[in-house]
Amino acid sequence: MENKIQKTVIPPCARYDIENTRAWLSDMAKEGWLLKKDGFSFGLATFEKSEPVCARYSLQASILQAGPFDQNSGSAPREQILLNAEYGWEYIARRDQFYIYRSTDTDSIEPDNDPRVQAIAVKEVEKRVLASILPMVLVLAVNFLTNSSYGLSPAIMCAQLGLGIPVRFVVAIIIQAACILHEANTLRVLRKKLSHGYELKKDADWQKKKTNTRMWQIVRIVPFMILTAFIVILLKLPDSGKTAIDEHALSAPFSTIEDLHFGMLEEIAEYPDSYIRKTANAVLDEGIEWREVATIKQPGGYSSVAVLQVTYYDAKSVSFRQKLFSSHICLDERRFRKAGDIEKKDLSDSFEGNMEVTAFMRRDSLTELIIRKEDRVIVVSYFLRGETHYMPWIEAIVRGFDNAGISTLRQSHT
Amino acid sequence: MAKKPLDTMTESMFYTMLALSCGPRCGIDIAQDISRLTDKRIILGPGTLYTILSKFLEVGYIRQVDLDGRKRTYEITDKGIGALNDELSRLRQCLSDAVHIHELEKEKTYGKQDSEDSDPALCPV
Repeated sequence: MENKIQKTVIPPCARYDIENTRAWLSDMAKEGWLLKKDGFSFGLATFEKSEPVCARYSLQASILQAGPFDQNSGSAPREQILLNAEYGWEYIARRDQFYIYRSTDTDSIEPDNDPRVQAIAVKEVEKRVLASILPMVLVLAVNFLTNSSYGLSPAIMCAQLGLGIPVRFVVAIIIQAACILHEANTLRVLRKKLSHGYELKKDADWQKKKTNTRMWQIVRIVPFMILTAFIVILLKLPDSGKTAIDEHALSAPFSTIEDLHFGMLEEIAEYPDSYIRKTANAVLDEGIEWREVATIKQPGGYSSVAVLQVTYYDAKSVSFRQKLFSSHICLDERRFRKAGDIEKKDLSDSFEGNMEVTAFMRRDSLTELIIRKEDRVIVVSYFLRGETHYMPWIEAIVRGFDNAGISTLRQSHT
Repeated sequence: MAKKPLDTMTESMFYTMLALSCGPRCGIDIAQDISRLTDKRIILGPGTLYTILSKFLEVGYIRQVDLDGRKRTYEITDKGIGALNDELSRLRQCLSDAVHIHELEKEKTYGKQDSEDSDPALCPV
């Protein structure tokens, strides 16, 4: 089998710049490089070495949306390929929303020889390009709604994921949306020209726009790189930056179910059915997450379930600490708004020292406790079924947090 | 679901409808008919023809009736006939307006008598 010499290049023309793309492809043919069959992929163009030829290219807008199960998706529709073949135009490749045909016959009729009809086809592409912005708007809207309704406020998200990630995510989407709008505008300008009868130039000077195109190509890559990094970080998050607290010499810097449930160890020994399941306990870059679920067999035979979840942040600055604290309060206010029997109480006066304590309590149990103690913000969800005297528990939790905190844990680890 | 009718019909579109009003045709037949009808004044390129057929299918002016081997045959629908008649009426109206304006201009220039005596074949419109 003959091995043809090939070369792959980054196109110097924007993907929706019909005029310059076809001029560039024709110039490449004159230099002895013919676009390879299906030679456009991942934004790159592949050429095969040939004798220098005078070839004309035509970029025909994809007027029909190919569905995901359409056999023609990815390639031009068969009807269009046949019609073009009758006129001496060979189907070569697809570049985004345009099908590329080539003819080496200088007398063959120009495929799009009615600019007003071509404007109709370009309008279809323009609509699809504009529609592609919708998923981004949706992602931003979902992101915003999730943040505002379910607790990932910017401050909390920054604390949990690191400051840069949520910001980079939004920036990436905005850049991507800007690129799409730029492309839609390019198509709109072209469509307007075509609808006024403008005929595309056969020998456009594509070199003129090369720098501009390169700049947009770089801009287009940025959001993809950011989003890829974002996904990689998210995928690696459960493993990276986490160290099991069990591995540390020190015990947890805060009360655990064992501490909170006074004398439980003896009871567990007495009632072997009692157990504590630690579902997560780790030192993260930004804080500690600690979750425990305990089924406790009480004297008298009845069992109770206790759930403790602690999120422990080392705030990096005063303003961030306050923001984090108020974000968690806002979040709980929203979360518990519909549950009429949950009451918010400011318990700061009950404790000495520079401490702010806000509790969200249901009639029969504590729901959530948000503590700002010096530079730390601690969010505690504690539930013990059947427990009604919550104040001793709150005191135990608040006082149970060791001042050494996360930094000591880190030091001991390093 | 058929979309809203086309706002404007270009010359290529009009002749495509005209060709299909004579009976079912495949794409190449349509192009050849138009070339013959217009004495090669209008030669549809394959890209133009494909866009027109796709758009007409989308708005319901034509439908595909047969798939003979690799060729698809199309026929005009009632909606398409209605659109063609509307376009014909519009063109007749344009022509009538043009003739009327032209006669008024001639009356102004040569007077009513001269206008009546003038040879309509010499009318540039």
